[in-house]
Amino acid sequence: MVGTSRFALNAYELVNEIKNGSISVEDYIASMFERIRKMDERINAYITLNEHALEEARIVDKALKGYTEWKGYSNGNGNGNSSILLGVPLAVKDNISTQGIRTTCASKMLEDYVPVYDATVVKRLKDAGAIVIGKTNMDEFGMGSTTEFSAFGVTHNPWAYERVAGGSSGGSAAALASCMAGIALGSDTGGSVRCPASFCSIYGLKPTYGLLSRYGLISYANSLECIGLMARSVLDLALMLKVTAGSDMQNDHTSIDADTSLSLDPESISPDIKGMRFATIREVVESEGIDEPVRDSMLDAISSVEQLGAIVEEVSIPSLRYALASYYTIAMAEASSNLARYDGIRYGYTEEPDGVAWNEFYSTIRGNFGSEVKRRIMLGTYVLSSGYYGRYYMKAQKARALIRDDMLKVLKDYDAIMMPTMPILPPRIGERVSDPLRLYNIDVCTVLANLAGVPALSIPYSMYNGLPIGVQFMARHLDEPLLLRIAYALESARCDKVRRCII
Amino acid sequence: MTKMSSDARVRIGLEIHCQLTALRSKLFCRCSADYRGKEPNTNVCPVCLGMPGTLPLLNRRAVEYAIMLALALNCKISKRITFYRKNYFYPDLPKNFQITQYNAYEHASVGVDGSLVLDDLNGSSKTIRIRRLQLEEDPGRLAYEGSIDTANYALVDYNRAGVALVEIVTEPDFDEPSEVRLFLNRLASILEHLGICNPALEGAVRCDANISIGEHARVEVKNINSFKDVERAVAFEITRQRSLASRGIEIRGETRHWDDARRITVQARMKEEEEDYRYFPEPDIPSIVVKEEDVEALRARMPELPYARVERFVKVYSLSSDTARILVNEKHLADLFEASTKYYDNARSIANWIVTDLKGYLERYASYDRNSKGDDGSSNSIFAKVTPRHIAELAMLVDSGKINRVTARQILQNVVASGMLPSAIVQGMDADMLSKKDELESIVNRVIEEERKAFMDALSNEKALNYLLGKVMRYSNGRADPKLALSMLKEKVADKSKGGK
Amino acid sequence: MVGIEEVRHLAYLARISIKDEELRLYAEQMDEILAYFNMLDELNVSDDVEPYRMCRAYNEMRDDVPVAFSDNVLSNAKNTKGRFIKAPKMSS
Ligand SMILES: [Zn+2]
Repeated sequence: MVGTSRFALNAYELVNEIKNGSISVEDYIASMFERIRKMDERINAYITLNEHALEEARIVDKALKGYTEWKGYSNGNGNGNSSILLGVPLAVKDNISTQGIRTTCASKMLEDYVPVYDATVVKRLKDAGAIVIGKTNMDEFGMGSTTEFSAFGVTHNPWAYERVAGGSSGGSAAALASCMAGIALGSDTGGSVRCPASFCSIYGLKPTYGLLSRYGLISYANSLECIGLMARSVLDLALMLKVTAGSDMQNDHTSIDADTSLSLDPESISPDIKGMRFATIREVVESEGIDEPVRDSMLDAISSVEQLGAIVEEVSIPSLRYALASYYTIAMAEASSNLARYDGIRYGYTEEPDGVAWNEFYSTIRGNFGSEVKRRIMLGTYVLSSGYYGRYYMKAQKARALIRDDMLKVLKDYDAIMMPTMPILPPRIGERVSDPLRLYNIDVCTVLANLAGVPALSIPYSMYNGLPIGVQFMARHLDEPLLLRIAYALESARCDKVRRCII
Repeated sequence: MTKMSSDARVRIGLEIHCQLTALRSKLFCRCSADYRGKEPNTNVCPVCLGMPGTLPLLNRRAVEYAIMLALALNCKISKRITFYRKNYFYPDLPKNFQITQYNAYEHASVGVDGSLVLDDLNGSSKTIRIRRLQLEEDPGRLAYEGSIDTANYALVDYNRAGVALVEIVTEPDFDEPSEVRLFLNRLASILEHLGICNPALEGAVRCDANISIGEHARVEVKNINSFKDVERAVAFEITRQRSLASRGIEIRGETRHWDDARRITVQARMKEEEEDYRYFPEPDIPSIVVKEEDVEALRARMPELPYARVERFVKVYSLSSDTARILVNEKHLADLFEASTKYYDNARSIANWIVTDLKGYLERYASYDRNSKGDDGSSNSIFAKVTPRHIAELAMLVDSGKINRVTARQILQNVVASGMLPSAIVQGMDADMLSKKDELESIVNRVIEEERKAFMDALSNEKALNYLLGKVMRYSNGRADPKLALSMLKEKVADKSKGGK
Repeated sequence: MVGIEEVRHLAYLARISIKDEELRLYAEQMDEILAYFNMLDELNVSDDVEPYRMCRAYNEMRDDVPVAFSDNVLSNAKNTKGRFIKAPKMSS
C-alpha cells in the first residue's frame, strides 16, 4: 500500500493487511505518528501521545513473524478475541485510565496525573492487539458538547476547521475523521460520543448502561455515563463491541453480564432491516430548536429506511419535555460529589501545604477547575442542599423514571426510536460557549438514551455544505446487534453518498 | 453514680462505631482489614485511595456481619439496603465524601428500630432503643509532628481508610452514666459472642455521646476512645451542664471533645457550623435486596448470644443469674468457665472461683480493662497461661480443703508466672494449711506482741481484729486457716477483757 | 433568584475560590439555569412513583478475600514525608 490512503483503511481491513504481511505494524504506527505531527497542529485532537506505542508495535510484529505467540499484553482475555484488532491504532479519550500514560481529563487539575492501572475496556482492547496511540482532547471532565472547555485548547472539526468537532469526546471523533487513529474510545454521559460522531461523520455507539465496564472511566455522572465506541465502519464497531462488552465483576459491580443475551459475531451482521418498525417522536420532530438542514436530512433518512423495507411511524412522549432538566440536575449533583476528590493531596495539581489551613488550601486548589466545571459543581451543590433535594434532585429522579418507562413502552411496540443525533449543524468555535443554557439545549436528542440506560448509535448520514449530519437510533436494553444491523443496512445503501474521513 | 441535685431529666444518647475486625478485607476494596502496625500508606490500593476511575466493591461478609449484629440488637432488617454519599471535605477522606447509609428518604440502613435490655440495673431492668444500625467506611488518620498547635502541616496515613465500620445510634434513653457503662459492656459482649469485632483492639470501638438536661440544648461529645472514658465523659458533662444551669448560664448546643489526659470536655477547636452533608444515593453500589429467608439463614448461622447463654448457664449449671451474667459479660471468662467444667464437675464452685478470685486478680494485677492498649500483663497474656485445667484444679483443691482461697490466689500468681499446674505447685511449696492450733499459736502470739495497740483496740473494735487477722495471714504466707486464726484471736481478746483490767 | 451573595455562599459551601469580578456572570448564568430546572416543580408525580434507580443490577457483592495491591499507588503524590503524605492542617 502506498500513500496516505492506508490510514483510511477500516480496522478490519488493516488487520488483514497486517496479518498477511503487507503492512508492518511498526512502520504503520511510525508513519501514523508522522501524520499526527503534521496534521494535529491544526486539529488538536490529541493531548498526549503514547511514547511506548512503537515498542508495543514491535512486540506485535515479532508475534506475527512467529518468534513469539501473541497472547495479548497480559495473556489474552480467554474468549477468542486475542488478535482480532492486532496492530490497530487506538485513540483513547483522556478521561479513561491508561497505565503509565498521562490521563488529564483535559483539566489543569490532572495535568500531570499518571494512572497506575488500565481501564478494563482499554485492557481488553490491548489484549486483542490494539495499540494505544494517544489520549484525546475533550471538554474538561466531559462537561460540554463542543470540546471548547478544555485546558488544552479547542479541537477543530476536520471537515471545517473554524467549527467545533462536537463534544465532549471531540478529540476521538476528530482523530478518526482525519485518519489519525483506526478506532477510538469516548465516553457518553448525555451524548458525548454521539454528538462528535455526528459532527465528524463517523459512528458513535453509546452501549446499554453497564454493558461496558466503567472501571477506569473517570467519573463525571456515574448513573448516566458509559464508555462509548467510535469507528469509521460498522464492522469495526462490531469488533470493538465483541472485544469490550461483558461483565467485569472484579472491578465494577454495576456492569452487566450480557454474554448470553448478546450475539456479537461481526460475521453474522446482516444488512437486512425489512419489516423493522421505527418510531419517530413528535416532540422532537416538531421542536423549534431543529435546524432546517437537519430536519431535511432526517426526512431523507426516513425515506431511506422505508425504501429498505422498514416501517416508520410517529409517536408522542410528553414526558420528554422534562428530559434536559432531569438530565442536568442529576449530572450536576453527581458531578459535585465526584469531583470533590481533587484536593491536591494524593495526586493532581497541588501547592505547598505548609502553613496553609485546609479550607483555604482546598478552595484555592479547586479554583483551578475551568469555569464550566465550577458552574456545574456549584449548581450540583445547590440541588443537593437539604432544602432543595426534594424540589430538584428527587423530582429529577422521578422524571427520569417516567421518561424511561415511556421510552420502554414505545420500544415494546417498535424495534427502535429514530431521531437526529444533533438538532444543529456543527457550530462555529465560540458561537455557543458563552451561553450555557443554549449550549445545554443541543443535547436534547441524545440525553434520552442516558436517562433510560438504553443503547444508542449515531450513524453518519449526509452532508450539508460540507458539514456532516448524523441520524440516531435507540433500541431496547442490550439490543446493540439490532442497532448494528440498521447501521450496516444504511452503510451498504449509502456507501457512495457518505464520506467518513478526509485524507 | 450519685443522683444530681436538680431534678431536670438528663437524656443521654450514644453513637457507637465498631470496626468489623473479623473481616479479612476492607468494606469496598480488597486491601487487608488489618491495618494496625503497618508502615504508613502501605495498606492501600486505587479504590480506597479514591484514585480517579475506581469503583467501590461491597464486601458480602460485611453486610452479613452487620445484619447479624442488627438481629442481635432486635432491629428490623431493611428490605432493600442501599448506600448513600455523605459529602464533607477532610484530608483523611480520600474521596472527600464518605460512603455510608441514610434513612431520611427510605429505610436504607441495615437495621432500624432495635433495642437492648439492661436487666442488671440493681434489680430493675430498662430498655434502650436503637434508632438505626448502618455500615460505613472508616477514614484514614492524621498525625502531626510535635503537637497539633505547633505543626505546620498534617501527615496522612490512609492504611485505615475504607475499613468497615458499623455505626449504632441509640435513642436518648439513658438517664445515668452508669447505664451507659452497662450498655457498652453488654454491647461489647454481643460483639465478642458474634465474633465480628474485638473491642480490645485499639480504636476498634469508638463512641460519641449526646447529653442534654431538661429543655436545654443538646451537647455532642466526641473523641471518646475507650469504654471507661465514656462513663467519665458523660458524668463530667452532666456536672458541667448542671452547674451552668444552676447559675442561670445558657447551655449552648455545641460539639465538645473529650480530653482524656485532663478528663474534661473542651469546646471543639473550630466552631463546627451547621453542616449540610448533601446526602444522595451512591450510584456505584447496586442495592441489596434482603429476603426473609436470607435473614433467617443468617439468624440460624449466628452463634449463641449473651442473653441465651446466661439463661443456659442458670439452667444447665445451676448458677445464680448474677454470676452467669458476670461471666457472660466477658466472653473469655464464660468460655473459660465452660471449658473448665469438663475437668471438674462442680460448675458452681468453678464459676464462683472465676467470678470472685480470678476476676478480682485480673482487675488488681493486670490493670485489666477491655480497652487497655498494651498487651504486657494484660488479660491476653494471662489467658495464654491460665487454661481451663488450671482453673478446674484450683477449684478442686479449694473444695477438698487442701488449700484455702488465699493460698489459691497465690498459686494463681505462680501459674501466671510459671504455667505450672496448681497440683504440682502445691506439692512443691508445701502449701498444706497450718491447721494445727500449736503451729499457729506462735504466729498469733508474735502478732499480739508486735501490735499491742491494735490488740487493745480489738477489745472494742471489730476492724482492729480484722487487721490483726491480716497480719497473721501475712506472717504465715497465707497458709493459715483464716477461720481457725480468727477464733484463736477472739479467744485471746476474750481472755484479756476477762482477766486484764 | 440567584444573586451575587448566593453564588458567594455556594462557592463557599463547595469550597471553590471564585474571583469577585466573576460573581455577577456566574449569578446570571446560574439563575437562568435554575429557572429552567424549575420546570421540574410543575411535574406532578404521585408519591408512589419510585425515583429512578441508576442500576438494574442488585445483590452484586464480593467475597471477603484480601489481595494486596503491589504498584506504588502514591507515585502521584508530590508532598510527602517518608511514607506519609503531607496535607494542610485542620485548624484555621
Ligand atoms: Zn484498598
